[in-house]
Formats: sequence, structure tokens, C-alpha cells
Amino acid sequence: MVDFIKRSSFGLLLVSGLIACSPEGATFVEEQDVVYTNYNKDFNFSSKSTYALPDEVISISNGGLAGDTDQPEFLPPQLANPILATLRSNMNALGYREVTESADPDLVLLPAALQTTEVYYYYDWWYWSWYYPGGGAGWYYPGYYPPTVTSVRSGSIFVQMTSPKDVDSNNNIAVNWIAIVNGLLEGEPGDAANRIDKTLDQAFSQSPYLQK
Amino acid sequence: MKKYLILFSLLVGLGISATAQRSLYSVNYTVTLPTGNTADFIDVVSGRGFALEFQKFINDHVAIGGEFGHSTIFERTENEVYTRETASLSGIQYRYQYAYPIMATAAYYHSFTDLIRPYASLGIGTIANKRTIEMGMYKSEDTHWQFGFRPELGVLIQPADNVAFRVGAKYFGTLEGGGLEGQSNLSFNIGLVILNN
Repeated sequence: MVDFIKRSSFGLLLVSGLIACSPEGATFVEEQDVVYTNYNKDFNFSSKSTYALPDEVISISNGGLAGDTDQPEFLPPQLANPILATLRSNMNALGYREVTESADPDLVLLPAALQTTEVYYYYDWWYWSWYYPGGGAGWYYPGYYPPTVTSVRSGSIFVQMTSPKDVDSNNNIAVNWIAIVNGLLEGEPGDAANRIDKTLDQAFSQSPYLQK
Repeated sequence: MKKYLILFSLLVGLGISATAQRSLYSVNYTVTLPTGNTADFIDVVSGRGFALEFQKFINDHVAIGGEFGHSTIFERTENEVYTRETASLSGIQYRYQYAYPIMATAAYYHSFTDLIRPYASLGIGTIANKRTIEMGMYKSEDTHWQFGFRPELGVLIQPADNVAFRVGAKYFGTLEGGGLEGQSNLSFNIGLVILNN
């Protein structure tokens, strides 16, 4: 009898132990949102005072090639407007003043929405050539590199902050700050604006060096 | 890795084949309180754990044997920003640490015949610590095999010849190794003990 108890209790315990060993992970789509920022540490943000912001957000997905069409694709206004409004309110709150792109801005913010399988997706300069003051040949990231992580089908909002006055000898434009908000392309459409607002705010708040 | 498997199968083998007199088996439920470096990673008490022990008495007071156990600690962190050089990353993290101690043990039982039998025990062996971090859609997972030890104080409450209950507290410690700093926790256990007299 004792032997039976002994053997069965060991077996039961092993089974229950294995079942019980993993608590639950993320349950809601917004819990999957990740905010990544990086910057050029030699760039003095606080010495700058003006910025320009386009009125469109570029939409990029895997497979499309730069220059395939006359113009890049843009995000529909119901998604683009919350992104632009959040960028504007954060920049204004930091002490920067918005000017048009033709008014010689110190900084330019270039937002893009990426539907790709990578967090960071190198997209061609061509996408912004219609807008950018002074023109350029490409991007470069002084002193840092964006992350290279491949993931499942996800969406990112990718904001690059450039300084048009800093162009290298190859006419490449310095990207001094990047913010990548990455999340699942799932969930309620009505929540998208809230998630965008919250995560872009987080991008600014985790970048205290932007404060003027 | 292979030597741990051999050690483990040896311990399991002992548990199944030992029918000699004066040995004990015990099945324990454990509650884990992270301390030190472990608490820096996960600072939450967990009730997900068990330990299996076998010991054979070499005299009235001293028993030697082995132990295998498992515990899971878990924490969800929010509003934390992880910065390395110029890069910053934020998001909700789900952190897990799974520990698998495999130890040789020696124990001293103060009195062999009384109802209450306090004991002190020491275990030495290895602990496999598996750390998992889930953040966004990304997951990192690493298993670290480390040298481990565990002193234990406890008491057996033995109402019958063949059955006793165990209440004990162990301190599990590991030395830095396998790419992870030394880990530690306090583990409280209650268990059922079967004695072959």
C-alpha cells in the first residue's frame, strides 16, 4: 500500500509540476507594442530651434520598389493624422517651433508606416525626395545603427529626424534620431489611434536629450 | 550536459530501485522567494515548484541521497526603459526563470524515534537556470548550468512508522557560470515523506 502511494504520488507530482510551470504571457495586442529609439550622440539637439513636418505619412510594405510609381503611397488620413498630431504636440512641448519645409528648418521629421517582417526596414531615400528641402542622395546614421530584427508579420511606425544642414560629402543626409514603434497589425481599428498616441509619446519621453 | 544527465538518471535510478530498509522518499511542494541577483531579475514570490528527494540512512541520524526539483518564478514589468549606449527600448516584458536543481544531499536527523525530528541538510550539485524574456513579439531564452549548493533546516513530523510530513526551508545558491551571475533564492517546502523502516 505504501509502495502504491509512493509511486503514484511521484507520478502525479511530476505531471502536475510540468503542467503548472508556465504562467501566461501577453494577452492583449497593445501589450506587444515595443518602442525603440536611438540617436547621434554628437548632435546637439538643444541648439536647434525649428522643425518641419510633412502632412503625409509614407506607407511602405515589403515587395514594393522605390520608384515603381510616380509617387510613394501614403497612409490614409485617419491613421496619418494621429501620427502627425502626436509628433507635432511632442515637438512643440519640447520647445521647438514648427516652420514650413521651405523656411530652412533645423530639423525635419519624416514619419513612415512599415508593414514588413522586420522591425527596421531600410527604405529608399526616394520616398521623401518629393518633400525634402535641399534634396539629398540617401540616409546615414552617425555613430549608431538601427536594430536589425526579423519578426512575424508586424507593423512599425518609423520616424526619422534629420538635419538638412548636415550633409556629408556624398550628399547623404544625417539622421540624428530615430524612433521605431513596433506592434502587431491586429486588434480593434478604433484602438489604433490610441496605441499610436501612447507609443509615440513614449518614444519622446524615453529620449530626454531632445529637450531644449 | 551529458554528465548532468548521467547524474540525474543515477538519482532517478536510486529512487526506483531502492527497496532496502531505512530509506525515505519525499514529495514536496515549494514556495520560492528570490534573493540577490535573482531578485534583481524577478522580485516576486512564486508558488510554482516541487522537489523530489530520496535518502538512505547510513546510521540512526545521518542519511545521504539525492534531490531533483523544479521552480518557476515569473514577473511582468511595465514602464521600464532599457538603455544600452544610445539605444533605448521600452515595452512590457514577461520574465521567467525556471530552475532545475539536481543535487546530492546529506542530512542529519536529530532523533530517529520521536514524533518531531528536526534536521539539517546540505545539498551540492548543479542547477539549470533557464531565463526567458518576452517583449513585444520577441523572445530570448537561455539556459545556464551552474554549480549549486543548498543548506536546509527543517523538521519531520512523523505520526506513523512509515509516513511523515516535512516542513523545511532551503537556501539555494549558485556560483557565477554558464554566462549568468550567481543566483539565489529561499525555498520553503512542505511535503509528504514515505519511510521504509
